[in-house]
Amino acid sequence: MDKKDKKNNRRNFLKNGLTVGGSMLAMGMGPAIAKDSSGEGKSSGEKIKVLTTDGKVIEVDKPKDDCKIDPCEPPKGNAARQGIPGRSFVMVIDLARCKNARKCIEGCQKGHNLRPDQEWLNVYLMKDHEEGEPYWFPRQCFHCDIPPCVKVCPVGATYKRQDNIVLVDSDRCIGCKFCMAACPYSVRIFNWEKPPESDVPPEDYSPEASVPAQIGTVSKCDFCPDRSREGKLPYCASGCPMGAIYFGDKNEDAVSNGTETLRFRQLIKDRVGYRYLDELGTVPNVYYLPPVERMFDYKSGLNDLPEEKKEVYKDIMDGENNKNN
Amino acid sequence: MKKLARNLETPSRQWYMWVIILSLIVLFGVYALIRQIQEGQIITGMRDNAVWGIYTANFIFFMGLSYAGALVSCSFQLLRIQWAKPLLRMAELITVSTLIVGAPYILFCLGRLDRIHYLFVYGRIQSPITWDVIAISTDLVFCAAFLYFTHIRDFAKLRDMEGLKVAKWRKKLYGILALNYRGTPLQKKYLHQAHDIMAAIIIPTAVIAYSLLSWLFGMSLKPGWHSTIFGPYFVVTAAYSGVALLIIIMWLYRKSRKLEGYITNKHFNYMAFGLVLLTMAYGYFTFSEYITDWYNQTSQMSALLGKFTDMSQYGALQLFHILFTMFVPLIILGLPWFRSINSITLVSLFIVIALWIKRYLIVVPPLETPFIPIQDVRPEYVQYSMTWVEISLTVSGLALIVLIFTIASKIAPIIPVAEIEDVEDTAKPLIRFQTKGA
Amino acid sequence: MIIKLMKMKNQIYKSIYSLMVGFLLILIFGTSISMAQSKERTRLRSYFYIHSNGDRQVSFLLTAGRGRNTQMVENAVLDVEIDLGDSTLFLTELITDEEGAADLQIESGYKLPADEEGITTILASYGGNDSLRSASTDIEVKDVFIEMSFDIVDSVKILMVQANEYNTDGEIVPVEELDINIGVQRLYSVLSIDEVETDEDGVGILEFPDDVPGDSIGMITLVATIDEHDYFGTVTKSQSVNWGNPVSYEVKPLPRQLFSDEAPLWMIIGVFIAIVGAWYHFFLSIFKLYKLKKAGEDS
Repeated sequence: MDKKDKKNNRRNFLKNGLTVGGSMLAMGMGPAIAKDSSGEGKSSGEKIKVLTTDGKVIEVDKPKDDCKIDPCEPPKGNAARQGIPGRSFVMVIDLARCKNARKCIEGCQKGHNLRPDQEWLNVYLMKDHEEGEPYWFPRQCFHCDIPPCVKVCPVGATYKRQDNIVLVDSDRCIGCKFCMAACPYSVRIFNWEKPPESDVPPEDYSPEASVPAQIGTVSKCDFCPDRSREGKLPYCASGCPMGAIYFGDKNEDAVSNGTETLRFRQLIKDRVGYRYLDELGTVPNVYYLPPVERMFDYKSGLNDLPEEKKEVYKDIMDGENNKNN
Repeated sequence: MKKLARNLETPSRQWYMWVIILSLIVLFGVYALIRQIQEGQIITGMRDNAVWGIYTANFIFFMGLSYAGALVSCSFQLLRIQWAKPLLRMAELITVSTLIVGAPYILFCLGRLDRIHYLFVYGRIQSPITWDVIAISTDLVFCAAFLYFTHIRDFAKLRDMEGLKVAKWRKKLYGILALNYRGTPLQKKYLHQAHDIMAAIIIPTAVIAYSLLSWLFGMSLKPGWHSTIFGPYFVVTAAYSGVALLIIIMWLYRKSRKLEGYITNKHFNYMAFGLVLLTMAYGYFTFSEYITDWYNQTSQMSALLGKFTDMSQYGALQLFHILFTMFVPLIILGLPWFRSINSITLVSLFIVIALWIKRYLIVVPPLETPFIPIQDVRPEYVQYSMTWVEISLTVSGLALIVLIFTIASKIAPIIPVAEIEDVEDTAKPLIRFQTKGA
Repeated sequence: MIIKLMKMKNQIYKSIYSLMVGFLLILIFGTSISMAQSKERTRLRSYFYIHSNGDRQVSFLLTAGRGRNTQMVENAVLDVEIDLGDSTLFLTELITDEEGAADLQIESGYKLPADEEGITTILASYGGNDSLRSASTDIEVKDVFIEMSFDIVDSVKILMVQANEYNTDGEIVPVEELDINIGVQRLYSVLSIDEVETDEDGVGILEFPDDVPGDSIGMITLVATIDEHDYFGTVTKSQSVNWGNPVSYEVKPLPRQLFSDEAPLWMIIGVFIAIVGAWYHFFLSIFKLYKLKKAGEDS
């Protein structure tokens, strides 16, 4: 094999858009035409082959994934009110890279067993003012330091943890929806009807994983602390094909989007990170990098959308068309 | 007394028919509620943005009506206003019935009614909902107690009345409820004191309870809700709606029970005068709120106010509301040649309807105008529209109020006879202002 | 005359026979060619890793199709061998997983058989099946050893990285002009600090910054990485050192706040006073009624 191939290591290979095909197969969504059945049944997936010091090849059990943060099992009930010690989670979203691919939304919905119309994470088309150019704006829960939702919850079903995360305990929520009315960023959604079936049994429910959902309760983006315990980025950050979503620990001063890792404070300083509606005093923990020197024209984000979705952006598009005339 | 007591005697077939019809309406509402609990709130019109719909509007509306008894009746009691005596029991009945019917509406908003007790077990004192739970339950108990206090003397009279054709168990009940009241000076003193204490404590309780309700909205950042005027505004609106409803009830009883002797032109005149004052106060608060928001032209409030001036959105409702709460009452009630018992009542009816619309306009449009624009393909998520569940629960709530009145009318006469017949011992002033050396 | 006819008949039979054979051959080859053309193209890639504990890993990725239609091949059997020049040393069979990947771990103690230049060539081949073509790959690898040492000179933190390899005689010699990336292990990934190039002694020197946060006692894990070297593959070496700034790991409950579980004291006191005040009056009036009832019994 020529040396050029060695440069294309697996990471680059996957990033060049082939993730779709590969992941389709892995998720079982595409036809598994490329399957060689000769090896079927021989590998259990739980074992790996090792060439030992004395030249023999043996099969041993695959070592379990290291737990980055103990305990790896997300805590249940009131134990989930304690945050992960020493951590202060924060998210940075690079608006110059977002092109409304909506893979973040799909990843989040799949990871948390949501229906396609339930969006913990939504991507809006925002236009700041007349002179501005529209840009795509992913909006997760901001996990504010002074959360208006937590203030008004009558039963303490939603709470702020020391690791910055604001969680919802579905076992305690009475569904009064005051938190939904109080949140200025329209972050929370409600289970108006029976949520989709989940593999996780109700007794294994943890507010950190937020599955299974319960009817008549509120749910929202939880910054995936169950993934962080395994050292994995949240579904949205790892799902974004453009690497627009960075996630990390403020205390560690590092945020990563899966390929790059940057120092958080320096990133915010250099790229002038801001917070949405900061003046409301909620002290959000999601920072946005302004869409300077964009990678894409915002219109490319409209290409693959169904017609009814494009209708939703009509006001902004009309404004833009009038401006050009 | 005898004439009034005749109404209490064995109920006629007509009465039973009326009760059955009302009960059926109420039961249909219960059925709607059961369906809602089983299938989830997806069968209501509430969705992720308009999370509170007419349940909350009804809640505020009925709580506001309860001011009829709480503020009006108790102030009349404390200020020893003589002409208002026939109206006291009516007012108190309004209070208790609207409190009983109104409070559950906020519970219908809950997604998990099986967890209601969490409000007490896990209650957080920082939440406006907890304050409401405490305040409304306190208010309900106090007003119910006050209602009972005002009945004691009449129960005594009924217990002692000869020739009252009621069932034996009812006579016995009157006896128990009369608490051995014999009319002795000592007993009169005790009853008076209990009366005054409750009246005195209900007024601040009601004011605080309703202000706490207003802070369900005030203590949030939403444009349209984030207004410092909401506390006093809601209190004035409640008094306004309470007085208007009281006038309507007065008219109904006057007509149906032929109580022209007790509820006279004078009563309507005085109540109309109060209504005019409240119209002006309400108009002042409304105007001051809207003009301040309009003048500042913040982008959020401009979007919301735009919905109120746009006829295709909420403009029509807002116009109806402003017309019938600020202008029409002043004309009809202020100008003597328009003023008559019927016109006063008609105006009050429109006021009550317009104030329900106002509560709807407070709850729903701000929810539909969040900071981040709603970019949703589903129309029911963009605009709130009520479903049969919510409408039937509203109608059955009204039916339940009428039902409570219907049943109460069989318990004691609607005019507090004892109050009217014994004049001398009610003239003692509550607070004696005396300067030194007088 | 008859002999002539018989000779002709034989010729006819011969020609018919040869025609039939030729036809059959064309048929067979034709179908095999067309079958070969209808088989999907596959591609087998190989990667080499050296882990921090000295273990090596050879990874293979088998894909089918090209460009946007690329798909991973699951459950394929790969034969892995080491090229010994004249012969091959068969190592093992590997089965690809659902992502088309198969790994072979090589313990650090195993000395890779190398050629005269000190390079080990590892071969892998896939036999193909009815719908997929066969594929093969080879990768040339070498061992490298990285050591890190720490020193503090004039309150400046100095990191020294030493890279060594085997020379053709099997002795350990330094590797020069090798780019090594130095980073700090963070929760999800490695934060890159700087890159060093080894000198002729195989040593790279880095001044480590002072403002890197560590864990609760200031420990950080430094990670030295060589990215995709032609022979060394991707090499990582990690080691912990006390060069970070400590971060508080104390778990203390939130102070009394509007948004915490415990309410501010003045709120609790205020509400308590209001409730007690109101209900006191209520019970007072109930008490008056009780006295009223008692008075009625006496008379």
